[in-house]
Amino acid sequence: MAKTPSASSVALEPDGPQPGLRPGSDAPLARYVGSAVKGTFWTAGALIVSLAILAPLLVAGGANVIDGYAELFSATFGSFFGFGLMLVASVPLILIGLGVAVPFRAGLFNIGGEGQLLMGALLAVYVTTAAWGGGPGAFFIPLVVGFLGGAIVGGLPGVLKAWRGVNEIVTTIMLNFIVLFFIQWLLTGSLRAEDQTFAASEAANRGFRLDRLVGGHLPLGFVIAVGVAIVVYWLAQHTRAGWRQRLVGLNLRLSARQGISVPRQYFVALALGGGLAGLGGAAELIGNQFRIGPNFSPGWGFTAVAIALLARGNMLAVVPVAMFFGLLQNGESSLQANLGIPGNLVLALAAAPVIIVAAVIGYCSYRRAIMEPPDD
Amino acid sequence: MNVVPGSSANGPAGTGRSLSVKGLVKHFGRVKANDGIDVSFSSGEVHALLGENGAGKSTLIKILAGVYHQDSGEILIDGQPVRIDNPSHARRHGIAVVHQHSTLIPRLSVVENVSLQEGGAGPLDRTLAQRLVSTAERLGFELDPSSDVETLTVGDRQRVEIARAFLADARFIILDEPTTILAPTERDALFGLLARLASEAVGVVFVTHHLREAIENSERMTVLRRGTVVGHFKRAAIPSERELVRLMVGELDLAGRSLAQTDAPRTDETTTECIRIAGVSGAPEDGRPLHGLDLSIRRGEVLGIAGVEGNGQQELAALLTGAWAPAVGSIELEGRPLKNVPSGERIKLLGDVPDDHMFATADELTVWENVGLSEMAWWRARTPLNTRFFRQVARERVREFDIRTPSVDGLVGQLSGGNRRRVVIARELSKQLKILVASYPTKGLDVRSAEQVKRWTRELAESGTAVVYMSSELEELIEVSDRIAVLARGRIAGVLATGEATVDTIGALMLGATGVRATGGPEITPSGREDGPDSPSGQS
Repeated sequence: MAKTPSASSVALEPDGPQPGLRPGSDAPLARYVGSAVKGTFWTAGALIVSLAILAPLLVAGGANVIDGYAELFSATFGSFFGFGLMLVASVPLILIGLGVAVPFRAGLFNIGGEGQLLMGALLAVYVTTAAWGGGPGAFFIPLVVGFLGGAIVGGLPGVLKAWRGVNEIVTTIMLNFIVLFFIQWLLTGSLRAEDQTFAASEAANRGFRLDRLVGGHLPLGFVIAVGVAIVVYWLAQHTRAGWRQRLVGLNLRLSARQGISVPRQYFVALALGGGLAGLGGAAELIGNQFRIGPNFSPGWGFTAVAIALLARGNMLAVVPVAMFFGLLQNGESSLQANLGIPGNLVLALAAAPVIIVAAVIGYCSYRRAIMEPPDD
Repeated sequence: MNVVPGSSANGPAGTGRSLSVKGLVKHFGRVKANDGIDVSFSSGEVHALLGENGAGKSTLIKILAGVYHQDSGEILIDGQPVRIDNPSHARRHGIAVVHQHSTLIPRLSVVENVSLQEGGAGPLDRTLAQRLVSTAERLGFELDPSSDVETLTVGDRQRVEIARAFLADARFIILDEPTTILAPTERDALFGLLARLASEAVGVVFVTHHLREAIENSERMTVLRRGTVVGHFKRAAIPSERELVRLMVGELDLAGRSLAQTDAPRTDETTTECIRIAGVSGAPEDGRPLHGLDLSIRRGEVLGIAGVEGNGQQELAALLTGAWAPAVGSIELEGRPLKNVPSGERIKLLGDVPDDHMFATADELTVWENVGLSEMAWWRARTPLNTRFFRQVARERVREFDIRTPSVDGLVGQLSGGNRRRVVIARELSKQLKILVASYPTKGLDVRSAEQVKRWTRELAESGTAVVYMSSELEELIEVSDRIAVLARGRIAGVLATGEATVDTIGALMLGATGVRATGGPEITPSGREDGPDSPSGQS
């Protein structure tokens, strides 16, 4: 790529003369696809580089590199069943990733995905273990309730940020602990199912659980997550409200001069982000684990930050990036089981692309800062 | 310490007598900012650098400052080629640059700022404050090294930067549009200082858009156009303003220039009131207070706002655009309290051209997104179908407002300041405006662009829109406005009809109420600037 300011500044623009000739510039469908491709282009590069970084880690773990890679990928691509597992694993990652990406677009960091998803799952437990056993379409209820639970946990930092100027990073992080310990406390008493050896809630009634479609290989939760991603993408890209959020994320002073209420946008972004994370927690509960326990989340709230960063704020790009992390999560257990490689090594792999992308973003903004436009 | 090197004729071994560039070329993408520039600056001379927006002046300066590196061509000091790869190289060669925008950190004190550049991270040099004071003294002004930069006026900040340059033994000082931000009296003080520096064998180079300023204050003048030198004059042979304008603008000529002979301004009493401000007091966040402001603006009139910057102009603009709702007093749009107008409607009816581009454009967005920005936020979503519409609209606006951009998909952050201003004007004039608030719309613009902006303003007023027009150029205000209100310390010091508005009357109101102090030079009233030999030719 040529070292011109225009190329380096966004790193996404195609080179060469392009007066209105961006690929698929005017065709709606092509724009959708093009947008997702653009959003993942650099990310894909970073992921490939980080796979290479995994090689010495595999060796350090005492495995043959080829075997290691083969195992990592065959866990997902070796069978329909394995692929289905990857899809299941990516459901909470997609939704919580969106829960970070939405506030990110408005210039806010939501590090509270963990607490928000737990609250979503907790409320989903209550409605799915109540007297009514559920029925066709009943899964909708825990999802909505989960969304609301997450929105409350995300909305509180939203209120504090918008109208009191409290740093949302601090408040969202701290709320994680409050919700986690609250659930652990509940698990010592009222929430704990009596027939369980380990602390865990009752299981969600069958009538609320998410089905698997296409012969049991396509989890309904995945379909819902992708659908939500498309809706969120549409809201972000093609509505006035989404545009206002983008402007707030790009330039506060401009937004205020354009009559946009910055506090309101902040609140909406964090509440919506929390809601999406809560939805992720609820979807995981009724789609996979069915019970909530102290280890319900392996840290999705934080993985989601990495996913949103790698997707670079593009709501559709969240889906493939989350699927990649689902693949890693899937391969992790199989590496451990079949090759004796510690699963944590695979998790280290997840960190590498984040660092690479962060470095690329940092470099681009540095270039932009020193390559000022021509002055008058 | 030799504060002003070469102040005696036998400076360090005859170095620093001339600074020149040969065949300097610099590209930005496909834009040739400098296209083979040859120019030479000598010590002991004040040298003015003239040119339109985008003529390549700032690029040339930034190359000499070590901010950019040239693609080809060479820099010579006393005929010897030198490499300037970064700003500290430039300083080592005795080249000091005072950039257009202050490089001082507002939260730090003067001496802390200077020590940042001097010693980097090392311990504070205790003699630095004293050296700074004595440097300033030799340059002919006073300086308090312990005061915080944020408490200083723009003129004082500029003097701090100049003093800092001479601490580092500058033999050449280059100032990029130093007067843009200064009040008239401060300008005179600055030119007094520059003349004094030249008399001490320093080479002085300054960039300006004001022809008269260049003519009056320089011994040599170089005119740039499209990255090349198109004229080079000694003091004795400096051509008329009109000739200079022709050189700067070239064959494009001044299509809109007939506007200089403004038709008799219309102060038609029958035109209806558009905006009424009554008894507004108080200050927006981070702003300065307004005191009991009363103002009425009629449809179809241009109300000029005069005053030294920082006397309430920003606050008035915030008030008029509804960005700030005052606690005391009222503001009504055609009889309707402005605070009752919903945001979307307000944005559609009240146009806003802020002076600071940070309030006006989103640099990471494209030209078409910036042009359609308000509309996409309030009236028409950016669906794929509308995206095509917005890009088409932007293409038309780019033509209509002469925005120089590779395409509507170019990022606004990549455009020059003047073109960014055009993007903002294009956006705001696309609305169904009842009133346009233009804050220093011609600041930093070249002659041709400024004329265009003035023409658009008049055309807008003729179509029935009220225009509030702020400018620091009194001649410009008189030319454009139907009435002129003078702001001083958050109050309206007076409202003048065009008949009574002269540079003298306005200046008296501005100065009487603000008491601008002149440092390092005799007090010069604004009328003193009218003495130029051929002052009336084009500007007034």
